[in-house]
Amino acid sequence: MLEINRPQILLLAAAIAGGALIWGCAPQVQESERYKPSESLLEILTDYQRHLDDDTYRFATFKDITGQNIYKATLVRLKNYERLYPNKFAPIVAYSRAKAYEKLHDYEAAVASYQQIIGTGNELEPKAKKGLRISRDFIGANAMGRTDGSVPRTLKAFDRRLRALGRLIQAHKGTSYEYLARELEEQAAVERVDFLEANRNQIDNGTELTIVEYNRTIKRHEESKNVYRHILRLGNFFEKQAREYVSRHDPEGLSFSMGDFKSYADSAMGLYAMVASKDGIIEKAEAQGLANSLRAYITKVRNLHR
Amino acid sequence: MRLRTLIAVAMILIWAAHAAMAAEPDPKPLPRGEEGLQPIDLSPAAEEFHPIKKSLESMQYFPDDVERMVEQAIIAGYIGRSWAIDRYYRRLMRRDLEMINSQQMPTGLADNMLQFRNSHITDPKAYREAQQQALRKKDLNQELKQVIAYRIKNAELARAERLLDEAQLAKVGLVVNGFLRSLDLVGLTMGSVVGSTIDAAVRTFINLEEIRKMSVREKKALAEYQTYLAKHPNAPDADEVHSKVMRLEEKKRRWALREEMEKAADLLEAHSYDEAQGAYSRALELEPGFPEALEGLKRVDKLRAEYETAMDRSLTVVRSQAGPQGLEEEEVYRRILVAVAAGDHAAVERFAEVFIERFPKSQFRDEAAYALASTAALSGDIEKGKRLLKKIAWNYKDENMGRRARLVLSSQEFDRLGAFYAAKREHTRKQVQYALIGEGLARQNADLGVYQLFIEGIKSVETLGMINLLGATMRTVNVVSHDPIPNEPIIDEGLRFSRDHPDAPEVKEVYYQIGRAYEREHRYIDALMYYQISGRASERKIKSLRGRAARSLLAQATMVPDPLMKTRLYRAIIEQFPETKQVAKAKERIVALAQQYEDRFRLSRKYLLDHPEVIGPQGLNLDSRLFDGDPSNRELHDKGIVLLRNDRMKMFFTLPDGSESSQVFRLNPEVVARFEGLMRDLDRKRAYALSEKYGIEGPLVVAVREAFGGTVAEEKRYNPFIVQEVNEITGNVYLSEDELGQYEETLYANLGADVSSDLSELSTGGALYLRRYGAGVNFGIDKESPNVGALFPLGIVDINTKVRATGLSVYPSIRLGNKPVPDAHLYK
Repeated sequence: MLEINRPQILLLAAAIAGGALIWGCAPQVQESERYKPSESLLEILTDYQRHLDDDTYRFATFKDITGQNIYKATLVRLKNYERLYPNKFAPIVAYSRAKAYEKLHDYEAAVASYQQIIGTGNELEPKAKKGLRISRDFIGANAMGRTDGSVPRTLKAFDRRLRALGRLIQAHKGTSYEYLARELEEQAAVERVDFLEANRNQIDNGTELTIVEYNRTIKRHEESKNVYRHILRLGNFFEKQAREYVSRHDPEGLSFSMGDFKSYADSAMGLYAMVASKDGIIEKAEAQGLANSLRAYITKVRNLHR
Repeated sequence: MRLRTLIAVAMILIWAAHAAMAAEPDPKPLPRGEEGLQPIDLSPAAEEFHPIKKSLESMQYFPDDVERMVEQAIIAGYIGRSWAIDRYYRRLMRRDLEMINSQQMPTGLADNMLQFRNSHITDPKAYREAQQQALRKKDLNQELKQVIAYRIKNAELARAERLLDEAQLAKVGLVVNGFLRSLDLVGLTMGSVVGSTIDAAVRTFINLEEIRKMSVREKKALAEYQTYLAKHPNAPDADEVHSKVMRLEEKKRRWALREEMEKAADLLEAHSYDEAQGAYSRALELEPGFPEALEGLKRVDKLRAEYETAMDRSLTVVRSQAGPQGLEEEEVYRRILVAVAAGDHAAVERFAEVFIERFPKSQFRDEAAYALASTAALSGDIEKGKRLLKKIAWNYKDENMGRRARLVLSSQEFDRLGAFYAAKREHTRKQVQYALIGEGLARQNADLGVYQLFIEGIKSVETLGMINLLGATMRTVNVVSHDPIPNEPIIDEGLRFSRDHPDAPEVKEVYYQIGRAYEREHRYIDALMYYQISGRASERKIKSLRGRAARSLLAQATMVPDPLMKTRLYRAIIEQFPETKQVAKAKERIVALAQQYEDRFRLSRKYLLDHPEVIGPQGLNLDSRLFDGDPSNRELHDKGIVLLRNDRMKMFFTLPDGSESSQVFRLNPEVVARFEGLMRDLDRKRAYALSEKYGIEGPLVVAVREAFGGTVAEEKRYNPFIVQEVNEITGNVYLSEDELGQYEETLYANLGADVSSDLSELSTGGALYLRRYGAGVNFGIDKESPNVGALFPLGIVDINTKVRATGLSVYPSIRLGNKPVPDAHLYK
């Protein structure tokens, strides 16, 4: 049988009390501390700098401890810092601002910020020059394809833009600029699909081409954080087709074909269901909502058609 | 002349060809083996036999004057002379009388003419009265009687009234049954009158809250009344209906207000300020100036302002401390800043260490230490970063960076698996909570023994504890066998982690845990995938899971209505789980599916005998020798006939030696069209009968009609028995009444669900329901404890007996017999 003597009991009690004391004194996080103002430039930059090389193409943008987009929040904090300490650590502030603008794809503003460093002789100047050059390359590539010309001309311009962005991806492979270029390429592809969709009635087989383009975007950007968004957009396109079909053919009339309607509606439903069945993605709830809404619409149309 | 000759010759040829085609349907059976049939040997000369009689019996027509009367009546209807229809109706009555007097068959059209006349009455009240009057006619055709009764029952106003009656009955039933349930007859006979009465009172009080709600039936009744008023604004009973609408609208408004207020409170608690504001605004629309809603809006504004202020504050910078002391300190600090901005990890490390060493009393030492920790994490050494941050959190706990370190340490960035393990912990906590106290301890305990608690005080806790212990045991078994707590949060957080950190060392463990979560959710294919990529599941586990995955696919295939989807699922079993037992079944069912596609109608011999119209000239016009009991001249087998696609019919025969054989015949398309028309008519009648039987309105008829379009999925939400009967119809399988009865009996025995309100309370266990005697047996666990029970019907009352560990309880309940509202989703 285990025997415990008095000193042992005292020791045990002391250990428990000690443990409780340590536990009680352990620093606890107060919710209000999350929203405390920054006190220095280093405090502003340390967390932000940790996320400058994040792969924002594949993963969601980091949110800081207050739950805000770290690049946007840092820009505001830097502005407030400058207001409080005009010209203090100016090149560092300008350089940090330029990097945030890059991450937010505002390359014009990034160029302006980089230019503030050129000629200061600061250690950051060589990096600023490089950033300046790259930002200008991004501006050049991204400016292509923005034309108000005819549909074929605009589509060709889009292709030029996509090729230029593809070259940027290759040129910056393995750096954080690659992610930025990929994001721009994805954005250009989305705009191209939007353009095709808006003008599909002016092009031969416009609807089919739009679907092909949607599929190409999904395939090309299957690693993107936005891939489910693209799938839902294609679902929306099919749903739009179904609704347009109903507008043209009254379900209560004789020209309406449930089969034709369902061919669009089922395609949309399949895509919504695909996203709705994926676990752990931000689009899941939206997809479930879209699927429910479409299901209700199909039921309504079927009831009208009977 | 030449052209005329050519045309004449061509016409003769066309006529000859047409006559040859029309004269005779192809009487020859298909060559043996062509349809994959067993060869048959029937005498005499099988090739000469065709089951369809060649000529139809001569059709009987009405006398000319009768046809003229009908024609004139229809025209009168079209041109709005409905009063004239009444004249034709009376003339038709007289004509029928004449025919009867002269010993001729009457036309039998008078009742139909009466209906035609009634259908032109625009005043709803007069229409109702006319229909009721028609229904009172003694010699009314039975079928027409059913149709009129159905119309009366389902007229707008009657439907609304019935819905309100049902709503009232359901509410009264809830209170009465709740009260009766507490009146344990055993308890009463043992003298526990006071206890039972108190418990009954408490339960009634709880249920009273329920009956104040606006039910789906009431909402639907309101919509029906409104439609009636819109259609017949000048009807004599419009004022009466209008006052009912006002009353129901007021009730609806009150309940909507209450629901909006409750929703707003929940949203506010979840910090969803915009949504809460929307809910309070809607409440104010429902009742302008409602003080609680106004108060709520003020609260939303205040809380949102506080939140926005906090967010704005987090973006500000304050001048809270003096700058670096001395040039050297400032220079080192600047170099740290440059290194941080440039992302030069080595330089940050170097200068931060120098800073901490040289300026231990600097106000910036905590920031330097923080930069050092951050850089360590950024260089890939998360653990070192965490260690340093913990140190900062402790050493500078009252300083700015100490607080930040604590926050960052608890964020997903450094506590990468924090959210995942938090989800797991929460899941376990809910499981334990469920196992120990169920889903609502307070209400359940209040529900089951207020009197006991009141009389016995603390002593009763022991008894309640015993009851809860038994319940807990059952619920624990339930947690293990069928996890009642959703696993989605674990899966979501796990997948998020594995996506964001695919190379993290912990990812295998996370995959394994995701696999377990999927397994608890019975999503075996997902579970398999994650177990496999985790590389941590045993072979035995994988093998068992593969079997369960195949079983679940098989079950899924049984449930889905779409044959294509069914086939895909069966194929998945065959291709992905070839070693499982389910493969054989999947193969068998694929073949059956193909066969099912081929089959259009299945009619048993008994069904055919019960429905002479199907055998007769209105239907298939089958040879009567098929039913004469003599196998030597071909006798139809009990399996009857199967109408196949492409105008073919498979017929089963009983051979002279008692064995079975089959043969496929080609049918004339006209016979097929005639037969299909007849079957549609029979289906319609059958649907009416089913609607009557189950008290279901239109959709059942619609379901049957839809079946011909190939889809009934939407309508299959109802009572499983109805669904089965609809399936019978939609599957075009025709059995005789007896055969249906047997089928139904088996069905009830197998399903055992949805048969009594008590069974629906079971959270585990099963049920067997013996329909023939109306009695039910169940076992499992209800709100109180595990039990075995039996239900005996006594008129409209059910006597419920339950044997529990704590004793026997017997209580009556009134059988309400309320059917579900088919389109309930439109009123929720």
